[in-house]
Amino acid sequence: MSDDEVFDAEEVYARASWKKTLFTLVLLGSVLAVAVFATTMGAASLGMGESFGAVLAEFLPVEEVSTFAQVVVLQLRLPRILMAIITGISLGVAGAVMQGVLRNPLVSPYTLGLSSGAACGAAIAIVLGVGVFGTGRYIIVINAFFFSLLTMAIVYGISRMRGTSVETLILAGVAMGYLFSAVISLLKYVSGHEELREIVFWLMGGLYTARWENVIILIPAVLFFTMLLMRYSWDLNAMSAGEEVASSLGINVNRVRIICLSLSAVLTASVIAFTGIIGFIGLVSPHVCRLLIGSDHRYLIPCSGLIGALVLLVSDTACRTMISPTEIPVGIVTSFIGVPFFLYLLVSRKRRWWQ
Amino acid sequence: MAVKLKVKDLSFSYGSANTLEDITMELDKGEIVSLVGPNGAGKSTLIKCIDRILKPQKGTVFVDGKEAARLSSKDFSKMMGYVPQSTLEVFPYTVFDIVLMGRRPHIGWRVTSNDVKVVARTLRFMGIEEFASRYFDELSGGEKQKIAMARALAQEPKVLLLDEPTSNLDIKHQLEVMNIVKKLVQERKISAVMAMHDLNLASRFSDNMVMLKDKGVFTVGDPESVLTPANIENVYGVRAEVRNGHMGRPYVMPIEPL
Amino acid sequence: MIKVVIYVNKNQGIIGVLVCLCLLSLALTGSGGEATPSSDTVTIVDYTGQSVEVPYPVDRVVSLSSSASEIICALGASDKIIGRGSSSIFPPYIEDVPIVGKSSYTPSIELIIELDPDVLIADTMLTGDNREMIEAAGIPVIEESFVDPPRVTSVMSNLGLILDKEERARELISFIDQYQSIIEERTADSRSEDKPAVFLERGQPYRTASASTSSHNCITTAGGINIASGESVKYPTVSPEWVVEMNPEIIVRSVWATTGETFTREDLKEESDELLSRPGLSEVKAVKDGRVYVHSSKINSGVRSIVGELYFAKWFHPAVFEDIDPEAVHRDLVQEFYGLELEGVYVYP
Ligand SMILES: Nc1ncnc2c1ncn2[C@@H]1O[C@H](COP(=O)(O)OP(=O)(O)O)[C@@H](O)[C@H]1O
Ligand SMILES: [Mg+2]
Repeated sequence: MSDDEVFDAEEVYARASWKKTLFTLVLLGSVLAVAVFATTMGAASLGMGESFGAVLAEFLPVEEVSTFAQVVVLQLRLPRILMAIITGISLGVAGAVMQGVLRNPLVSPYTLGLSSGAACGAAIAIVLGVGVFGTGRYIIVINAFFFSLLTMAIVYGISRMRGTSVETLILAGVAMGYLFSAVISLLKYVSGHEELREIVFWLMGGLYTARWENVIILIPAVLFFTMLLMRYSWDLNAMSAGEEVASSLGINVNRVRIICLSLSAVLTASVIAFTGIIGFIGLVSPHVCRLLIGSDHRYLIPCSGLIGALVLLVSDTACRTMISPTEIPVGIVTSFIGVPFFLYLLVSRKRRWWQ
Repeated sequence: MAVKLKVKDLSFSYGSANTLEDITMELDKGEIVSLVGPNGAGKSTLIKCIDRILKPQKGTVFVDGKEAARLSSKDFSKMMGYVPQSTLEVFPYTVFDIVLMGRRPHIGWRVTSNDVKVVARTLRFMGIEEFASRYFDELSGGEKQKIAMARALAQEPKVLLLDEPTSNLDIKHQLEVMNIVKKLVQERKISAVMAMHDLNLASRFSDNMVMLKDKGVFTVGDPESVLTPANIENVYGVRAEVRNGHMGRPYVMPIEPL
Repeated sequence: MIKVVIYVNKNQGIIGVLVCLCLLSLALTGSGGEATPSSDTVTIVDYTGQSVEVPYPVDRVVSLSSSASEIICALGASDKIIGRGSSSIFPPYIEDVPIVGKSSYTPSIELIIELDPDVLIADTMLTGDNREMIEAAGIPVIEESFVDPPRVTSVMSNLGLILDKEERARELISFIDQYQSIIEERTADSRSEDKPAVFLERGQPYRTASASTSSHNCITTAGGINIASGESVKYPTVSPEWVVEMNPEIIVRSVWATTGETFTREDLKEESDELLSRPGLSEVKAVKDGRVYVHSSKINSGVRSIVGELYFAKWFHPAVFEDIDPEAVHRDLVQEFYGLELEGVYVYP
């Protein structure tokens, strides 16, 4: 037996793993670099020095910075940048996991009805809550969160009745999405002119609600759920070969499926409850990653999250600055920046694995 | 040490009516057993029941004298390897990654150098080492079948279950795959159960055959005793001649359906 | 006898409200005195420039516009409204009138034709197709705009005319005019450096209004400077940090009220608290000086927009308008023209 040959395959694998690790690190570095750059960008005219100064002054008692710079950078820009990052991570991770667990490249929080569920919860709060319960600010968030989880539960429940087939689950999700959209349309139709605007606004999504209070809770939550989901990387890899193979590899397919779907639902729900619907990222980030590094979920999950963070952060920074002080809804910018990038990757790669 | 597989009074139903009824069969160490029978006889179902992919309503499966249902799924998956009839990967994985999935029962989150060595060795054993960094969906049917087998082998199982491993393959690949199974059983002292359509391949490569009909076992035995014109007529509804084939194994010539 | 009334409107040029009180029977028979009402018609020119001939006086009106409904009720002709758009919710007793659609954009043509009113009044959201269909059924359609105060004044007198409530219309117009002139006169002498920079927020956080919106006009008329006047988007959502940088002296938040219910003080206080708790705003002059005002959108549209105007003026120039009590004006208005007691809270603090 020639040990050389054995070593060869090992080395190929080692090199591939190293490449993927490097890719992950580069992505992480890019997110950080864009984040640093984004702290200097905005509608208020602050120089780069002032912006960094404001951040540094928090940690070092060196510089004297204007209160204005401090307020703008520390209270407004930083939480928003962090919000963009964690929202992007959540959607990217949830998208990758949902696609993996359901073995379907078209699945996303949107296709499974989670977004519509959240939007429906928010719309109910907006139309029926405002004026009755006061501002409805947290009512919207809480409603959106619970409706999103409720949708996942209903969709899973329906698929359970038919023996948990993946197809049933996806179709049930799509159907529920339509149902909730119909409810939203109904609410839009019966509600007043201005409430309608607010629903539309929520449906477009945005990070303008970012606040330290929310960000501080969301960061550990998102990281925690992401880590939990990464523990299922191997199971997700195995499940991509089909339920039977996965189960013969010792995986309790139904258990993994419900855990992963619930965790991703919580992950998605907790951010979109604050941001409104931000489509596209959950669907496309995993694909971008697969095109670049393949489907091994050990790398796919973190990279998809980081790609999501990068796309959302770049988009949101653009949306804050393009025609400032007017802000463009981030969903519009995300699509304008993300779609050409994604299409470029699609056509420039010769492999056609999605067929 | 090879393991004896025993199936006792196994019954299974997908819904109302039974698909399998009171199946009993045994498998000695280092033995290849073929499951034959017409389409819909329940060969695939039986294989899945043995591998705990499906949960039989009645009956027991013993592996190495231990009751399969009592083993943890991880321990069980270290004993049984399953090669499905066809593999479809929706997402792009490299061949190495796919075979590495077979190590799933053995690893936590981190891949050890031993795992990588096992995978590399398996690829070499199957003669597909050159494909290690290729993507699965870029390969031919025969190559895919070998990779699915390599994944099951990487589990280092005691019993290998194969569902129609040669359907969709050309004659060269059919022989290659069957030779690999034979070599495995001999070298690694494991046992194999294969669902087979091709009676002649089954006859040539298996030590024993189980012929299924009407939810149950019609007959069991070595190829000579199972592949008789009478049995084939009864089970398949086909008039056939049986001749002496390669290495004295029976060779079935189907003549006409009855 | 032909009566021609011409209103001059600085934006629209000359809007001829041509009224032909063609008392046909009178002309034909040559007998003076009483005219048989069935044969009387009036012709007015609506916002779109079309001459609309309606029976005189109009007895049965369908109003798809909430502002039109408010005006008709203020003229004491609420009993003539036989159908309304569901957004018509003021005065509260109008809610007994059957609904014939949601707004001018979505009328129920069937219901309207079934009711067969003498005239239908809609706002500019009415589509051409719908207008044609209603007109084809023999129902005259008046399409009006309720954005500009001068135009609203002419709508009031037009409606007064066709409903035979001219006297009442003059009273309503002079009630509003009286306060409008006070605001105009007193803000006219304030130099531009005395005008406070105002950030107006409509509903959604940081959504404001640029020039060429009624909100902007309201700020300008009340002697304020809209910091967002130069934005290209009509109702833009602006960056919080920009608001901090612009450092407005006054922040006004409009809370949208679309149901018949009125706000309580707690409702509006909650809105105010939410605004004050937003990150970064604590550094803004308006917040430091305690000049953040929240109000219900109900005092910004229809007949009551003069009340909103007065509040704005008083917030922007408290010394100049010290003698004016917008709440009292509001109370008078609803009492005199709707016979209602003022209920609910409309501004905070
Ligand atoms: N998932 C399923 N649900 C219901 N019935 C099934 C399912 N899979 C197979 N069957 C039925 O069980 C019987 C045995 O099928 P199978 O085990 O695939 O036969 P074989 O592999 O021998 O061709 C057939 O009658 C088939 O219709
Ligand atoms: Mg089969």
